[in-house]
Amino acid sequence: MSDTLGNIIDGLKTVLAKLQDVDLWPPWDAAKTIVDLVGKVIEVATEKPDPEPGDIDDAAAAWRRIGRTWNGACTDVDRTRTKTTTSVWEGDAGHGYRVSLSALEDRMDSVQPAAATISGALGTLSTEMTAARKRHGDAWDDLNEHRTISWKDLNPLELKDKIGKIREAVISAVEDLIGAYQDANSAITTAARTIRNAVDELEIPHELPSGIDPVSAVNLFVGGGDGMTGDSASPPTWPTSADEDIASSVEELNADPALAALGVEAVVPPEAEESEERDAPKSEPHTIRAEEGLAGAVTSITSQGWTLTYAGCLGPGAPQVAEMSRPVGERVAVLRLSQVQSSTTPSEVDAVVVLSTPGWSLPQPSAVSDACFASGEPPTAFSHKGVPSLGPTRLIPLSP
Amino acid sequence: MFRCRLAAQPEAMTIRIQPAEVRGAWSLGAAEAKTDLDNTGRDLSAAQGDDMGELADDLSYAVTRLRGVTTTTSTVIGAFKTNVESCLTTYENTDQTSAGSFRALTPPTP
Repeated sequence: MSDTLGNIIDGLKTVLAKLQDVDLWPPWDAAKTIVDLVGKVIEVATEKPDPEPGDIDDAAAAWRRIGRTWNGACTDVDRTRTKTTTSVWEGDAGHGYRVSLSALEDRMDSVQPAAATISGALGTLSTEMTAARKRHGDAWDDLNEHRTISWKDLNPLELKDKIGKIREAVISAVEDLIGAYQDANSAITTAARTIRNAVDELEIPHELPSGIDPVSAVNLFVGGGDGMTGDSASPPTWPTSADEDIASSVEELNADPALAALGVEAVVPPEAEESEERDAPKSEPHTIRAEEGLAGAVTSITSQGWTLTYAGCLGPGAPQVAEMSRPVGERVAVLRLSQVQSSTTPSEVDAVVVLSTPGWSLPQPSAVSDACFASGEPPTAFSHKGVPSLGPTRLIPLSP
Repeated sequence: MFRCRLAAQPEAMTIRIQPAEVRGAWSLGAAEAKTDLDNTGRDLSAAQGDDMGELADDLSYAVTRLRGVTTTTSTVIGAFKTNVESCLTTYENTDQTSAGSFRALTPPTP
């Protein structure tokens, strides 16, 4: 095949676009245009996608033979090692010899799996190329029926109708041809990646530097390879819909009646570039008056759809903390209330809410009951229930 | 007159090596492995395939790598054999008291 699959696909897509734009009136002009375009398709896509399954199968068989040879070679080296016992060769040199044979086996052991992976990848490719080539053949047969268009005794409207049907059939055939080449392209890309990655797993260097003892050179080998050259990892980015997702989630969260009653309002953080740090959507620190104390506030909020997920009494003079959560669309909101009980300001409670950020998946925390602050008495010792889950407030994307 | 006496030299300990057994074990195993690996040229050529289209470069990459790995392995086995013979020669030349040293290959880093 002289042209690349990518070029063939591009060429066919161009023809497809022209076919879809063919004006069916006057029909005899449309017929000529369609026949011309079919001619172009034939020019571009005559050959079935390569490689042929038979050629792939031959290569796969060779990789299987190579795997067997290496497997046998490993067994041979192992035979030498097991026969050279300490009673045959005692002392440090003999020990070093046996250790070296064992190390060589370990390194050689990496070849057979790589060969098996490659023969397996070629087997899969063979199957997929068979299907792609059949799809090409079927589409080709359909297309061939329209290399010429003839008609007689049709009035213009009947002819227009006939040409319209032909155009649809040709479009369908071209779409199938494109699909056949795309299937082949995808299968080859997958096989290529598997093959390169497999040989990069070998534990023996493929070249030895001059001027250095081969055993030492192998000892210095750290593995790896070029692999898919030029295929460097992309930096992690936020999902493309992150800003929209955050804005709509914040809007939904702020409509929550319990939050509104507290006067707590989450703020949409500034938009971030695709790989930049960003603030989590959260509220500013806010102090509320809770006449019935922390326990009363929690009772009120949990009666409005929030779930108590953490209750902590951090000891005498230290804060008592309550965290409640609720789902907000695909996000999870966590509201934290904290109070330091004192005789002067018994009803002041600090409140903050944080909403999870796209790209950071927080599971809905589990509910807890019998909070340590439920009695309303000042804490005398450390005690807590649940897992604190107020999310991070400054984030970087982690997934590419 | 004071006469000093030299302390007697301790007798060097001998180590036990059976050279014929060592060489026999070599012939039955590692030597065959080297021969078999040296003979994979035809399979390596076939592994590259014919008319492999856009997969040709990738298979060529893999075969080039494995051909190199095969050569390296064969070279290392050859180096082992040289080292074994050197040890056995040292053993003979030192009245069986030493076999010299064997340059050890280490296993791959996990």
